[in-house]
Amino acid sequence: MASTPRTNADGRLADVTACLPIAYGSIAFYLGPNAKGEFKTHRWTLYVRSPDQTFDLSRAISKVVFQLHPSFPQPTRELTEPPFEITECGWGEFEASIRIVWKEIADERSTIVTHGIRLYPKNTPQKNADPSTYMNTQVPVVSEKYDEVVFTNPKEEFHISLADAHKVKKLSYPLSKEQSVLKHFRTYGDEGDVQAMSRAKKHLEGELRSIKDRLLKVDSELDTVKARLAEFKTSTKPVAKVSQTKKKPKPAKKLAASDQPPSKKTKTS
Amino acid sequence: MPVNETVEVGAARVALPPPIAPSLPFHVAATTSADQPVQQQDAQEQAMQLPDQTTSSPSKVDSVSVPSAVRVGNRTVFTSKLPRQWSWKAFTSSARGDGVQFRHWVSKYLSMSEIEDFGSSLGDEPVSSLQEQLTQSNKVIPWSKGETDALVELARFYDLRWSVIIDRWQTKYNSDDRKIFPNCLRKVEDLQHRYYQIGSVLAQHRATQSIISKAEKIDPKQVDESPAKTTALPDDAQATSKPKSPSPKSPSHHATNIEALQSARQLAELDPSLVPRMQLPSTGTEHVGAKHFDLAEERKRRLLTDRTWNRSRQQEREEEKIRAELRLVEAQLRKLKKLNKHLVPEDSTEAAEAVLPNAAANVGKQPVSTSLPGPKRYGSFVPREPIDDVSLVQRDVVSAFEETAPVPTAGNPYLQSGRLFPPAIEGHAGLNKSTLKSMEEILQQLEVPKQPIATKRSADAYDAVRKDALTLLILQKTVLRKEAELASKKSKLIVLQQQPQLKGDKQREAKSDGDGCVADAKPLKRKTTKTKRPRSDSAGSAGSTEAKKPRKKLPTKVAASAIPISLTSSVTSASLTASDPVVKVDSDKLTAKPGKGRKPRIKKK
Repeated sequence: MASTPRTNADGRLADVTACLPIAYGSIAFYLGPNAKGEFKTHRWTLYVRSPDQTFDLSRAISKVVFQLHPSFPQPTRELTEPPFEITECGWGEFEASIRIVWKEIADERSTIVTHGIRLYPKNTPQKNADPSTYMNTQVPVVSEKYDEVVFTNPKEEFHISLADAHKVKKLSYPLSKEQSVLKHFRTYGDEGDVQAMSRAKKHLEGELRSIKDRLLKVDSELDTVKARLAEFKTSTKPVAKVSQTKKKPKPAKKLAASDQPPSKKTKTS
Repeated sequence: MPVNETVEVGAARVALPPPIAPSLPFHVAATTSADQPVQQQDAQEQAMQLPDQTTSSPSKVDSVSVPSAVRVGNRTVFTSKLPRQWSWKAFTSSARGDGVQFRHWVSKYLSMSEIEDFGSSLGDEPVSSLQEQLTQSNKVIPWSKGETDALVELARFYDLRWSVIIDRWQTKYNSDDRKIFPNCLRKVEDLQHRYYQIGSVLAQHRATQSIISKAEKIDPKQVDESPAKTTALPDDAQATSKPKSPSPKSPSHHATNIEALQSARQLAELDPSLVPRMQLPSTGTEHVGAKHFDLAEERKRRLLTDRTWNRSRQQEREEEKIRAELRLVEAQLRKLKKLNKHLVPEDSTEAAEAVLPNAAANVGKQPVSTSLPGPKRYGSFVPREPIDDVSLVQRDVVSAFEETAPVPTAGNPYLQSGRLFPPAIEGHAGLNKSTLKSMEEILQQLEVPKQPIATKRSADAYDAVRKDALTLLILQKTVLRKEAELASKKSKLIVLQQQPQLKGDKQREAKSDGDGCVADAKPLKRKTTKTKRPRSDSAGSAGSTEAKKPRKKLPTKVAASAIPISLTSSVTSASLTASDPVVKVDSDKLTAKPGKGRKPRIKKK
């Protein structure tokens, strides 16, 4: 699929796109009786990871900056080494922003994504009754998003290091420092989606074909009718005779039609 | 001789005192005096003042604080800026016999000699002095004295009505029996040019005269200025710069016109504040390069106008066609340029082709590197002449998507999820909201995931599906519209054909028209339920190709549609019956049900 890419003068590969898959999100545990006061009812972990467990993110990312809610001490937190995650205790849901700064060799702008940290599961009743009915200390609330970062014409070095990052046999860092979080890391596949969409596309193609045929027919009909109308406008007087002759051309299936106009003629004359 | 000075002639004065010119940044007057003359309130004044006041006698400054900006009509006046300076000057008109003096608000810097005599015209000058002035101005014009005199006389007599003037001119010099060369060759623009040239020369002359006379009156002493720069007298008679008003630096009394003008110029060069802002007479602007009459332009304009007038119908039609084409092409080009796609890519690939189930990359396993032919969009099209509707529609759809999709630029990574956003609704490339909604409904019915995973393949596929759905919707609309047009044109044709026959036939016409109108009405009605009918129709036709035949078996419909059909080829009959009333369609072998509500129905295979 990849032909040999040329390298431009600025060190970037020409006509190359590199997609780097990334998964980011949060996992929140309800502490229940272990809560350290009412302001720390949940422990959550906000992270950025690679969906592929053998991919070495440190080759691509130089640092990740997490921007938390201002009520946290030091809300701006920078991590320069994987695993890129923040674990905190809190009580409220908020919107955190994650900024991924790529390696200097990449010469790419940093990517910012936002993520809403969810502490409560979806089926939370409106008026909070007893939390213990719907909250479970064992089952965390996971909200994770898969995305791909697309680099256009990446620098050659960066491209090479990206390729190398995959070849690492064993990661030099743990996937997560929190053991409880690890088991909730999942992998992603697009087969299902892609297949559904290709099915849909096939069907639409069929419909499109038929509509295009129809359009062609209408167009050709319109052309002939317009031509006829134009002729009429140019020749005004001799219409009486000309028109009758015009009705003669009979399409194969329409024998009944051609009978009618001559009959009209006889009626009037 | 023209009046060169402001003479306070004792005859009929204006009885009322002048209003006070607003020389302050703002003019706050507490009282309004009822007997202020209306004529003082002209538009310019009102613009100068705050809206709730009139010009009145001495301003009483209120303790009212003045706002910094005031809306006057549709303009905003900033009160901190100094307003224009006006003065209430008197003028006479030599066209009036009694020498009555009127006054007028005039820019403070404008010398009254310019507008002192509104009534005078060129023709009042004795021609001999004209001649002298012209010879003095060193113009090389192949106009003889006799010609010029004749022209001036004509202009005076006919009040500068050029069409009459040229007619008289032609009669005199270009009549059939005798032609006087070179007079007979003069066209209107030549006459006009000559006339205005004379006018501007004279104006300049008068201006210099007024300087001299003023200088003489006030201070005949010589004042030593810096050494005179002998600048050449401008012969083109455009702007002249004059000294403002009597001042210690008034020009010394010079003998000749040329020197007078030169000193005026010196003054201008010495101090820019001495250069008044003057409106060039009869041009209405202060622009120095403003010409009274541009001969070259006028010649060109006349030539083009003549050509346009004398065009044949054929040429007109051609031009109209070319213009329409040009508009189309320019619109296309603009759209493409906007997306930087006006250059043809080497090998353009469609996104759909990239979506193959056996793609090499797996999700999440490795960074996928693909080499595309150029950092282009997915699904780009080669720009070519927009011949048919389909390509036009596709182009529109693509551009709508590209409005919202991220632009791949080197050094600026984007997220794949950015490509999953809906296409643009507003903007020139935007689609209808309703079209978008219908598209989403279609996708829902086709079981396309609402939030597909953000991988390259998936995003490509999603793009392709959405574009196809949109194209389908828009094309359906187009087809319906065209079919309606077709039906109406056919009925028109029938009417035309059967017109020469008697009224007995016209009843039949009405019937056939009625049927044709039925065919009209139905597609129009169906536009509201467009997503439903045509899809079922096309699905039906796609599903069963023999659907056409059973329709023809119904005799009544055949007869009615027979007349229009007789005019067309057999191929089109199928499509016409396709536009026939819906009832028939349903009765055929279609599995899709004539839906409930407006949801687009798609026959699933």
